[in-house]
Amino acid sequence: MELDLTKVKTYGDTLNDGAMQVSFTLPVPAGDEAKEGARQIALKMGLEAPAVTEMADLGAGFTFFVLYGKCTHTVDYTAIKIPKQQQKVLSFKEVNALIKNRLERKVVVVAACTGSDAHTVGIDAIINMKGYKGEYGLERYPEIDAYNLGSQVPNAELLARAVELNADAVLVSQVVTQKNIHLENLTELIELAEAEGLRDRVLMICGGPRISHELAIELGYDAGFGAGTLPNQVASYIAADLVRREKNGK
Amino acid sequence: MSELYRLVNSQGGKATAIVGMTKNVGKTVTLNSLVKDYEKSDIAIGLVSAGYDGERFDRLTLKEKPRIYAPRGAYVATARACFDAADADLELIEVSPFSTPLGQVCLARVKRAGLVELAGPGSVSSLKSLIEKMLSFGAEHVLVDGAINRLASASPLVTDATILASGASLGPTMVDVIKKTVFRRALFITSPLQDEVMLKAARKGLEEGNAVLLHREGNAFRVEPVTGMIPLLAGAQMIDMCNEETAALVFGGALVDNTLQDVMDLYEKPPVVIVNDPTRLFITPEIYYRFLNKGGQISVLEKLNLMAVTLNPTDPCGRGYDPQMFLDKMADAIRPCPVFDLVYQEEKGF
Repeated sequence: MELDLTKVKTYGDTLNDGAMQVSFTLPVPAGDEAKEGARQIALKMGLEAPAVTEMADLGAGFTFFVLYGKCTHTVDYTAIKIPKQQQKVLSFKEVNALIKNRLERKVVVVAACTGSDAHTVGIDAIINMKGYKGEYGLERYPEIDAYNLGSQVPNAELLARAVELNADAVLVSQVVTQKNIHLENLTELIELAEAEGLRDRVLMICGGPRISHELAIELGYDAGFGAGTLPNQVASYIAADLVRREKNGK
Repeated sequence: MSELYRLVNSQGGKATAIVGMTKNVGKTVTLNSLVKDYEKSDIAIGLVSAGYDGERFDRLTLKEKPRIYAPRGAYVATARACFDAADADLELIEVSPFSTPLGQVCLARVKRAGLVELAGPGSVSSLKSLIEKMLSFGAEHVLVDGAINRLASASPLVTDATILASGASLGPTMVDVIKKTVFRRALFITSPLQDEVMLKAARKGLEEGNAVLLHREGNAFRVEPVTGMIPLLAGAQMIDMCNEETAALVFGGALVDNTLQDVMDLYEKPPVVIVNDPTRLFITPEIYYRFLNKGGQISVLEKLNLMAVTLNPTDPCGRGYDPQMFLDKMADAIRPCPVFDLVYQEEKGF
């Protein structure tokens, strides 16, 4: 059978069999009725011939299910267009070489957890000398002067310190929650930077478990990094963007 | 044509900012409504976002969002990756120097109408330059969609008029939502400085420093510019230089709670506080109203033109209000500012 990219189906044993495994919990006690309930949910989800292969009593009237079935839906893979991030990632050595050769000066990075946020795990992973997952932190980069201001730094203070240290980039770490508690702290920093006439002078970068490049654009930052980001990814971005800005003469 | 469209179109400006009180208050719905009416009137528009708009799902709540429709003949400014992935047929005019994580911002003309994702530049100065570009290419009016609760695109330095979007997701109760909107409007409509002599002195002072003290000297003012590393620090410095003759304090950057509090502590009747424009006010209602009650006056050098407020009576994460009641109560609270619920009013046929 030929693979038709305009009608892609889920795959199990053979092409286009549509096989799929789903698992979920129902708030009812385990039993034949619960099993039938799970099967009916799968049918409504568009699974053909769903079979419950696992039913586990979770206690307190809850039951966990694993089901197999055949998904009837297809997607047109050729019509999917996803805007992608355009930044190339460089290694520790490449970043240092790029800064040394193209900028001919050290790059100053100021980092902090701002507002009420005290979750420093992320910023520490990026800044601390020992780094994260075998990648050195920015403090270890000979061509980068990194300052970690710690946690709960007020936005105005962070901007003042950034100017004082003549920062090229400001790194802000925030745990953005579903209820957007810290979101407005991130936008306030940007708005303050705008009002103070600093926005074009400093690269503004945010990071945190729920932050993506797209969210960073929405927040008004130059870049954003999410969970699992390694220090060299951040360093690559900063170095490349500073070189680009230098070239554009701004 | 909606009443809002008539308002925007009649005021003659070249660029309108749509800003929101928070997420999910209907900025994009307002934008789309205007786009549709501009398309009907055959007026070439420019579209740009201060953030990221038109994606299918919200980045945080994962709920479906309104998409952005770009009519034929319109101009758009969006990041390279969004230009490449657009459903509308776009013709590249120019690649701007402004970069985003999704590539340089591209300026394009719409050859075949369709959906687009708008990813804008990070700074307001870049926004301003993109607006000017689109106008020079032939756009007759540019609509600037806001992002989250960011207001900087409403600055009169960037856009001629502003529409403020508010809605149920702003607070836990309708009273709270209205209170917050009333306050934001109060800041937005801060009146321009009337005293011509003072205005001239303030502008002159800002050429030399990033904060300025104006001391009364007969009928004129002695201008004392202060320069700090950033205007915020100059403002703090200025507090120590105040005396009895000080008639006005000019802040070249942001005005924050602490500074206003310091001014209040210093004076029985505080001097006039002046900022560039209303987007420079970062003060909370408590401090603001206390300052006014003390006889304080805040003025701006450049006035912001708040044209209307639009409402979204539902919060995608929960509660919703009766649209008519919400509309009536908000209109009462911010009269004479026009208030619209575009979705509800279109359904009702007016």
